[in-house]
Formats: sequence, C-alpha cells, structure tokens
Amino acid sequence: MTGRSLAGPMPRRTFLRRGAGAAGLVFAPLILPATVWGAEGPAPSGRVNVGLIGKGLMGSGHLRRLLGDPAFRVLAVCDADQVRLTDGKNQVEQHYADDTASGTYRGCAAHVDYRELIARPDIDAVVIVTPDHWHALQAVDAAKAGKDVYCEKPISMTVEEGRRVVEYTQRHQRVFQTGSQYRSITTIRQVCEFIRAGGLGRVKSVFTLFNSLASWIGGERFKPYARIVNADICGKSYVPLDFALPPEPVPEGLDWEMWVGPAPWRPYNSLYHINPAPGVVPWSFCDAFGVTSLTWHLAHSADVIQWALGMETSGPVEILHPADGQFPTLTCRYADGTLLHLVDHWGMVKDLYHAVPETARLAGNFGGLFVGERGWITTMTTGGPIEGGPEGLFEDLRLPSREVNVGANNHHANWLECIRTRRQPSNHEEIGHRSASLGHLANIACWTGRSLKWDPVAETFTDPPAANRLLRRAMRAPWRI
Amino acid sequence: MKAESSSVNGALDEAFSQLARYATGSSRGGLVPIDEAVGHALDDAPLRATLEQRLLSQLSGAPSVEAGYYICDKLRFIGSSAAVPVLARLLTDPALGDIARRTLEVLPAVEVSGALRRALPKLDGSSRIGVIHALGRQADPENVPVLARLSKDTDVAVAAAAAGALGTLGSLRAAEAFRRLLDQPRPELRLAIGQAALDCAAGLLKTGHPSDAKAIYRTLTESGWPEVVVRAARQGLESVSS
Repeated sequence: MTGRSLAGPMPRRTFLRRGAGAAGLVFAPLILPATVWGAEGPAPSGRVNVGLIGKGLMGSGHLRRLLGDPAFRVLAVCDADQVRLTDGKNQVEQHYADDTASGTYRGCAAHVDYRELIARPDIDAVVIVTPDHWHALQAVDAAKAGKDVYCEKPISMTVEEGRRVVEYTQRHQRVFQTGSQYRSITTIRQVCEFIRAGGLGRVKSVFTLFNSLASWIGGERFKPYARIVNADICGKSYVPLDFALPPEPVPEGLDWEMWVGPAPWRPYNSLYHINPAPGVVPWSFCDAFGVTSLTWHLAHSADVIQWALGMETSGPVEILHPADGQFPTLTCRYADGTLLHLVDHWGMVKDLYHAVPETARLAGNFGGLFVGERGWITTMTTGGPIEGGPEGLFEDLRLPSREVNVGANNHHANWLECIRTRRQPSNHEEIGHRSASLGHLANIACWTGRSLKWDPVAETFTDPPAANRLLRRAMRAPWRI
Repeated sequence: MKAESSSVNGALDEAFSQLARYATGSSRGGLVPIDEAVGHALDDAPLRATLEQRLLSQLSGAPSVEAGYYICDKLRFIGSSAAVPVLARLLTDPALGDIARRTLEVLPAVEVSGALRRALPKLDGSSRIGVIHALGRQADPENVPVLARLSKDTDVAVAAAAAGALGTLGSLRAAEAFRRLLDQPRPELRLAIGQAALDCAAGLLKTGHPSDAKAIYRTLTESGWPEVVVRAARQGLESVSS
C-alpha cells in the first residue's frame, strides 16, 4: 500500500472532541487527493477504450452505462456464450452506428476467450462481470496485461485469491474499482461518513443479513431437481454446496469448458446457466461458482459497513459461531470491540437482540443497521429511505433527502476519473478484497461450526491454525494465478 | 448424552453408506452429517483421523465421479500424509485426476511434493501442467531442478508453466534458476518468464532477500523484455530502494 493510501476523513475521536452534536457540520468529500499512480494510461482527457468481459444480466447493465458515456469506447465484448456475445456486439455496434454519418459501425470485436481481449494493445481497461469463480483470475491477468480493471463483487472465491488481486494490481500500478456501487450513492455516502466521523458516538453493534440456501434452492426453477437438492435439509446451509445435478445437453453456442474455467469441473446443467437468464447470479448456490450470501448481498453490505467503521482495509479479529453460545447468530468482533451480527432477517434485530425500538422500520439490503451510543441508523440501499433514531441524529446529519436513489451514483465516473488521473478509486482493490474476506471468514466459521480468531494483518487464523488451509483452493488445470 | 452420541454416530454411518452409492442424481441431504463431522474435526485429531480413513477407504474403492469429487473436497479440510498415496494414485485417472491434484496441492504434508514429482512422467496435457503448477506451491528445494529442467521444455505451455512455478516458489534457489533463465530467454517465452521472474522477486522480498529481488528487477528493466514487465520491474526497484 506504500504511497497509495487515501487521506481518510477525520478520526472519530477528533470529531467527538470538536463537538459531534453541533449542527451544521460539513463532512469531508469521499475522494480526497491521493498519491498519483503510474504515469501510463490514457491521456488525461482522452477516451478510455474498454472491453467488457461477461454479458449476462449484470454485464448488460454495465454495457448500457459504458455506452451512455462518451468518455468510454467499447471496443470488444467477451462471453463464453455465443448468444450473449452476439447480442453484446450487436448492441455496441447499433449504439455507435447511430453516431456515424453512414449509420453503420462494425468496430466491436467479439471474443469467447478473455485472454484474446486483454492481449489487445488498443484496450485500456476491462469491466469484469463474469461468474465469481472467474473474478480474481481475470482481474490478475488483466493487471498483468497492463489493463485497468472494474471488477464485480465479490472479487474472489477465497482469501488468498483476493490477496493476489491486490498484489498484482499494485505491482502493475493498475487502477482497480470494485463493483460495490452502493457506497457511491450520495445518501449512503453521507450516512457512512457521519458514522465514521463519530456521529453515532461509539458504534456498539452492527447488523446485516446473512442468508441460508433455503429460499434460493426452494425456488421454482429448482423444483425439477427437488430430490437432489433436498431443500428441507440443504436449505439450512449458509455455505454453497455441490449437488450431483444431472448433465444436460450444452446449449448451442455455449463453450462450457470455458465457462467452467478454473472452477472444479461440473457437467453443464441449466441451473447454472441458461438463456434467457432467470435472474442475476443463478450459479451462486454451487460451491464451484459462487459464495451464497457473499455473492447475493454481503459483499455490498460488508463494503458499506467496514467503511463506516473505518475498517475497510482491515477486518474482524474474531468470528463467533452461535454454537459457542455467546450470541444467537454468527457474529464478527472487531479489534475495538464493535460487533457485527449476521442475521437471517431484520426481525431478529428486535426479537433476538432487542437492539432497536419495536417501531423501527427495517427493510432492504446491501447495507447494515448501526447501533451506537447516540442512537441507531440504517444504510440499506433497497427497501425505502434511511431510518434511524432519535430524530436529533438527522438534525446533525443534515441529509438533503433520506431517499436512496440507487441509480444516482458516481461509481463508474470515479473509476473513469481515476483512470485519467492515476489515483486510487473509492473502492480500490484492498477494500474489495477485505469486503470479500469478511464473507469468506463467515463461511469458514459455518463450515467448521466453531468460532475462529483472525489476524487481519497477517491474514491468518490464530485459532485454530488448522483453519488456514481453508483460505485457498487450487484451480482446475491449466488455470492458475 | 450417550444416546445423543449414538444417534450422531448412526447418522454418520448412514451418511457414509449413502456416500458409497452417491452418483449423478443422488440426494445431497444425506451427506450433510459428513459435512458437519468434517468441519468439527478440524481441531479434533482423533475424529479427523477416523474420518480421513473412512473417506480414503471409499476413495480407494472406485467411487463415482460425484463421490470422488465430494471426498476430495472433504480431504481438503482434513487430509494428511495418509491421503497422499491414495490421491497420488488418482493423478492419472481421467475423471478424478484434476480434483486429486487440486486436493494434493493444498494438503499440508511433506510427502506431497515427491508424489507430484513421481507422477510427472506419467502425465501429459493439462494434467501435467496442473502438477507443474502444484510443484510451485510446495516449499521443497528439490522441486527447483525439476522445474528448471521443464522450463526449457520444447512444449511452450510446459516451459511457461514451469517458469511460473519457479516464480511461485520465490526462493533463493528459484532465483538462482532464474539467473540462467533470464540470460537468453526464448522469444516466445519472454512474457511468461518475465512475469514469473517478477513473482520470484516478490517472493524474495517477502522472505527478506531484497538484494536478490533487486538483481532480478534490474535484469528485467533491460531492453528486450515486454513493456508490462519492464514497468513492473521499475516499480519493484523503486519499492526496494525506498
């Protein structure tokens, strides 16, 4: 991290000394000047040539965002599925054709293999929107090829993978943005800065959602495989599982070998991938390709929570399993004593922990509920406006609006700006790695059924040391980081 | 308490019985008692040894591909030296060779390295590449000469993988091998060798050998190396000097 640290907002204690309760406080902007990164990259005001890797539902959203911004030029699309690939290429060419005098444009390349895309010298940056098992490998390979990276969350399948992403990004001086965009929504940003600066006083506990497989594998599309997935038993698992799903004919145009890539081999089954997509991350229940809650929402929530706690480049020191009896749900303890309770649903915050008034309206996702000395406040992105109490908190916070407008975020814009200035983005590689790590640690506690002690500096378990073997998994040959 | 323990053991016996029949289309729920026992065994040596033996017994008995994958995944949690010969025998198995290698690669057992080296001559294609990568993850000095020889293989993929594995080792002996590799690299391997040498230098830095890392960085800043390698080497030099 030498020479790359963002200047953070003022420490909580400093804030408190200056009078946390005073009205009219002005909070520091999110992005403060950082050390200028390497000189190579597009010209400061130049257009950024981008390749999109992965054109599923999320990839389509990214593509629309990129095409809608004249500062980006999409030169290539990549997908292992020819249907999605062709659709992406056509979408790009149609968009740019509208800007030409002739009304035609044929300048978007289509690649099944991402290695061809990142080898192109005309591409400055890539947006990685593939299934989770690809994220770290593609991010590292892109960095090694000299490309700047925007990578969907979680950026890794294991703690070790995430550390590799950090190391290679920094070694090659790349600009890396983690795709947890909720921190870039104005309202969420203001609330996080408020908490971080001590607006709640000392934060005692935080709550966020951590869900089992129940609702996922109990869904309609799993019904034909009900006997195999055993939702009544396997639905209790918080970690992804492997299922002996029957092989099905690989759809025409899908390169299944490439789709599986570095993950443990699984024969094709439509539960993993099908057109049209049944929703985002359909593969996330399977331990070869995804990481359940971390894929669904925890990577976002961890990002917002650890940022507000000032822990975004660190992590908890203990993961306390409910089997040990200290807390009724899985709980992470940070070095300053703050507790992060992972709950199945918001009702547990009232019924089990009695942490907020019965009248508190808790809804939504992609954030957390913070309880501090001065009151409580939410940072959830979906489910309505910011809630909290007592009302005096909001007088200090001075939000222009409690509404959370998901679309109004500057996450891609921040990445673009940093590509030009060679500065660290708001959600750089270390932050993305630490958010993902929180989910990995929680999953390891679930796998082992016990509490764990974690050293966030060395990134190793101190108790039991045997758990350290779960920090990595090898890739299917011939892939490697 | 005794009744509860007996019930747990009964469920585990039944789960192992289901594992023996586990195949495509089998119900996953029946294996959950094994999942739970393996998780709990992480710091319970007697339970770990018992479970490992039961898993190895089934793995030795021609399991289905699905059962083989499941067993290997559980050995990732609790496998020991005892698992090495069983997994090593599977390295040449077309269906289970890859998962066996991936499990071996992460086992904390000194016997892994030798088993991987002995398997190399029997393997080709991706299987061979996988074992070469795995050798790079074992902190065993005896792997260096093997990898150094393979880094000169006529098969570019094998040579690149071997260079990569040497880089992953990141040891002083690996650095010695790189001194020769960096001298006259084959043109088609310049990028792979350059990236691998960067890995080696990073490994040397982590283990407290900055002057050896610096020597590699200096070499990589000379002309002829791909621009991405040169830039990273310059950055490395700066970080060592600062």
